[in-house]
Amino acid sequence: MASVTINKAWKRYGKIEAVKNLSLECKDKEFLCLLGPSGCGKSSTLRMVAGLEQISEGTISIGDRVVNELEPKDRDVAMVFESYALYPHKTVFENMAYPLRLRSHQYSSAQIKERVKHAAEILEISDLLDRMPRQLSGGQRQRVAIGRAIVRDPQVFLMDEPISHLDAKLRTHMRGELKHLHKELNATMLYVTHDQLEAMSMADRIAIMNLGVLQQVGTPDEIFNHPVNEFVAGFVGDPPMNFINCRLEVMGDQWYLGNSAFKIGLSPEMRKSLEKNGHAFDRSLDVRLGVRPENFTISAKKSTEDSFQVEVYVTEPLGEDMIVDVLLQENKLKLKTRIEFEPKMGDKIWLDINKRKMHLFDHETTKAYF
Amino acid sequence: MDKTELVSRSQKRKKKILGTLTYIAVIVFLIWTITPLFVMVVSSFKDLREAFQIPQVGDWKGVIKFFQFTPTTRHYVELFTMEDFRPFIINSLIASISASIIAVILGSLAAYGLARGRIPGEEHISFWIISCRMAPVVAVMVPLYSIFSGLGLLEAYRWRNLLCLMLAYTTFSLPFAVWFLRSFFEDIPTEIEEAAKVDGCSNFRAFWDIILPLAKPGIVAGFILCMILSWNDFIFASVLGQQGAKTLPVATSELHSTVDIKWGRILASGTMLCVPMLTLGLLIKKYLVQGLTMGAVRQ
Repeated sequence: MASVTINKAWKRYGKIEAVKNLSLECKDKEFLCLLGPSGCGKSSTLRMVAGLEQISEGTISIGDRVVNELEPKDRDVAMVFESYALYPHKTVFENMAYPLRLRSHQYSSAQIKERVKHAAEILEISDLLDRMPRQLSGGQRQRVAIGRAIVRDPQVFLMDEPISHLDAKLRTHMRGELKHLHKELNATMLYVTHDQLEAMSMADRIAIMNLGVLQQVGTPDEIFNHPVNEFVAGFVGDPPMNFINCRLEVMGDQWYLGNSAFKIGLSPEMRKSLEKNGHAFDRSLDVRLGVRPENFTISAKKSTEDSFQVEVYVTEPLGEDMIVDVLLQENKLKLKTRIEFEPKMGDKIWLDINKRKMHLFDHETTKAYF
Repeated sequence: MDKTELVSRSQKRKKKILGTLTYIAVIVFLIWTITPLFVMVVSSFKDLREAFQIPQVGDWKGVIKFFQFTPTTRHYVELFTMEDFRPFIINSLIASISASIIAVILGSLAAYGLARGRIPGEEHISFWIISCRMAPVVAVMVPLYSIFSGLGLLEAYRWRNLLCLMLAYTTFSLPFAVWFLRSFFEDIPTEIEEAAKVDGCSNFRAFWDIILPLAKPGIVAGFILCMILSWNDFIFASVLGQQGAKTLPVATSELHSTVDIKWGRILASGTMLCVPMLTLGLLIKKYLVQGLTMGAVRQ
């Protein structure tokens, strides 16, 4: 196994800059997820590492080798594609054996058979070896594609949204299987997805991209609880974070956050965070308040001096949870609460924000103060 | 009956009428195209007197006479014993098969390049290639004649003339093969090829091991189509084939001379010319449709 180091990489398709000045490292044996919306450059990045796209600028290293000029076959990487890309005219066995047959100087027929069988056992597809890809279900094809990758024991595994075409139930199952496989193989994995739930549940670290630019790299906990900007905060979490335009008011020793609908006081710790960011805050400032749906406390009446009233717009029962959409003047907020709480449309309820879990973003740069 | 039901009934009636008219048009077209071939094939097994027993106009019952005959293979035998057609059939086979092989080999490489390569002006190159096929043969006859003459390929030696024909047939088979095969290669997902490259294939190995087997139906169909085009050619064979490598279409035309029209042998030769290629065409008709409509619907 080896690390993957991307240093100041650019990818241009004509005038379009798909990847801009990306510097990122996937450490040895790490499961790193590239997460972002469609068109953010994550697949282009993966394909540059694989050698399927030419890097426009910068370097990519696998281990201590710079691989910019190397063909895909010489990079010692294995890739699982979104569409599985199985060879339709070969059996499952031959699909998995093919990468080894291409290296026939390294592996004898007996060794090839042994490795394929071992990989098939790990993936529980031993009874499918004589079948053709067209005879397999989506989940089975996906496991064959993974099997084709693991037979070779490459330095790095590259996975481009491998479970995105599976149904929801199978996706949930495969998330666990892939994470288990990573631990079992002790492999370096670079995984691309647009699904934040996949990234949060599987990755050791997540690299979030948007419009070709790396937004943040961190553990799932860091990404979720300490987003560096509004994009990261809003992309991760389901339902997504609520954003409210408000104003930071400094009145002597007291700092307040709010708008015409609500007003909450900031704690000394929050003030320290703001000051640490280099803001003098001797005047009012337009900011964006970010609060996750689960970080509101809901009550029928005003419970603290920071409580504010909202009107119920709609409720969405989700098994054990209830998602409540509420109106706060022109803002529509999503709250997450227990299923037992079932307000009616039009009801007035009171909210309190968990100040330890709220976030503040610069109105213009969208960067997080805390 | 309400308005919706009335509209639905009227639409169904319209559909039925259109369907019936379509069937009638297809039947008329089939009769128009198949009848001459059918008459030729059946008549080639008749004695000439029986072959020329044509019913009077309006005498529909007389059509049954067409099917009342004693089969004979005399005309076929005469083609080989008296006209010595065997070398002409062999010439046709050699020239058309070899030109088709060259066209498919080179054509598949070019088609693959056009389908996969990010070549500037790709569409213009593709159009230029297929426009060569659309050009009338007579437009290139004089320059080709001059080139082959300069190369000494028009001297009356069989293998030189065959080589000349093979090259001439390739000039129109190759662009066709490129155009036809391109759609088959485009239909193969690029991810399969990329997977092969990551697995350890070079570009050529991926083409040979993965792409070609998947494009096999198209390649076989392309080969047969090129064969049909070359087999049926008359003008190149009559001008460039000379006496050294006369082909079946040219030899058939010579059965009609100023002093004599050997109807029986013409019918037999025409049958030998048409039937093999018709059979091959029926075998590949599915791939013809596939090749012509590929890319019409996005997967």
